[in-house]
Amino acid sequence: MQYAGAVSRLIGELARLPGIGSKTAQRLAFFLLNAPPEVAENLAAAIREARATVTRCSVCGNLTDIDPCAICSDQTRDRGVICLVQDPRDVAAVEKYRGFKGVYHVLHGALSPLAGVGPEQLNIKSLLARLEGGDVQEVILATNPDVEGDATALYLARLIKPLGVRVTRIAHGLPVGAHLEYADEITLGKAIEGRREIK
Amino acid sequence: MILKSLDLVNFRNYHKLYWKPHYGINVITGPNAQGKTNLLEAIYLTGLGFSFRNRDRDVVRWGSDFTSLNATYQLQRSQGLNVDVALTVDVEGKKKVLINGAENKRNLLPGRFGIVLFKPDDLQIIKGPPSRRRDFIDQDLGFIDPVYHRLLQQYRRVVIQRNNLLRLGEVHQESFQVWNEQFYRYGAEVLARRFKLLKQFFPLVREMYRGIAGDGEELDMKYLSTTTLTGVKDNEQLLKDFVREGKTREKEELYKKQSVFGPHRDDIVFFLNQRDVRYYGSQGQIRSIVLALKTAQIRLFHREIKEYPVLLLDDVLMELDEQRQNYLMQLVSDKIQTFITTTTLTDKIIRLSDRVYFINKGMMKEEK
Repeated sequence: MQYAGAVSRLIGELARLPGIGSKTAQRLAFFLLNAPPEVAENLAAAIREARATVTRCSVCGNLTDIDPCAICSDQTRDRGVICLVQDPRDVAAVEKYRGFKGVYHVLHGALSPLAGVGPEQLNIKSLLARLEGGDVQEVILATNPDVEGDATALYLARLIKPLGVRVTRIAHGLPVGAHLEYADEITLGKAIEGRREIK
Repeated sequence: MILKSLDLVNFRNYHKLYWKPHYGINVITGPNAQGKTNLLEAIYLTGLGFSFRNRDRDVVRWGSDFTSLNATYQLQRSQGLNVDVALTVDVEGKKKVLINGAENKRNLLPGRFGIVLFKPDDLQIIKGPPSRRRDFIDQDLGFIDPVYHRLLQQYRRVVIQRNNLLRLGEVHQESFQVWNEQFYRYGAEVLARRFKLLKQFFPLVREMYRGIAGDGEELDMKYLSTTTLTGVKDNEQLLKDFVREGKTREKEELYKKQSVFGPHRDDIVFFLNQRDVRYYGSQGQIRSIVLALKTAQIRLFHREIKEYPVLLLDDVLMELDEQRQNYLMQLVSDKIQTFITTTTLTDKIIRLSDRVYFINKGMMKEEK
């Protein structure tokens, strides 16, 4: 299919976004071209502004438009506990739970030689700098429970433990409200391994 | 497990077919290239969710946009519970599977209660590369132990990651250690599960082979590990063996830039009267061993899952001599729903079968 240069460039740029194939890119492009001009201009402005103002927090690495970020500068939060996650989206996920009153550290990825990600590519240096202050008592490793996330957790545990900080890993197991008979065997196995005494 | 009905629309060379096979022995006959194996493929596909032949999209009838298959299986357990499978594949290879009307329930596919397929090219399990034997253990037998299946996936993922690290050459010491540990842990767990499976399986294969070939020949199997294993094989010991192997072969791995040991490299060797079958076995002996593997697989399924699998024999029955045919028929009679494709019908097969279907250009005619 041939479109005028500007149209095909727009389609091309949209198709680079994750989850967008060429057909969806075409639909989006034609929507933007047919809608009132403000729609496209607002979108462009929003992208430009977000790009210009959003940076990584110099403390935790989370995406923010103020530095340090809202969580890091919140005086009511406990700086003694750091929840370590792979991705800014994971911060949002843990925040939804509301029960966690500590602070975060975002790695921006997990160890994956396949994707060319080694320890140097992760946001680890600034984590060590935070731990050196001596105020941190515990680091909760909340990387994903897959092969890469586990390797990352193991690596960080090795690194952090010698500093005298308590290192914990989030529990694996059954989702709340689940029925045992529907759980898969691996999850059930992990749940039984990580069982706790009722007090 | 029994296939009660199969409904095909635009599947391979079938325009439309509605079929209620017998619960016993079904013989499918007809000239070459008329669609006999296609029926076995349809059973396999509705049972397991994937085909044993090339790409999924090839199953769509030439000139059609999509194919749909509907199958009803009955399980012996739970007082004959029915499982309805509805499967569609379009020309782009997009596949949709509904189990009892619900999407994304692939773990409920009836195939996990066993579909055992014996096809001519299975002789390669004995003669072919080690990967064929590993695939037989991992895929065909692995179904019995879902945990094994999952562990294996994770282990493979670790191997890929570790190989990439080795390929990069400059191995970052601490992160290499982390991947090593994952490699040892999953490797030992996979190995432990595999041994458990084979410990049950090997004696069954031996027993079946004795039944097939008589007393004159003694079949033996040996697991050939790329890891040096010491004595007692509990999980702890396996892990220790794995770690030790890792230490001694680190240099070799750094040089070869890949993981050179572990369950992904192991093999099984078959011996008849102490002689390696790969070099000394005749065609007939190899065929008998494969038959022993498949029948032992049925036994194992039944013992572990309390359900007889459906048996698919693609063009292999006539290749067996009369004694072996008798043995197989005796084994399946009354218990195991069997589908046999063959180009040549003998009086004996007609006598033994419960139904004979004649296939011509994608059309079916019941003969018996």
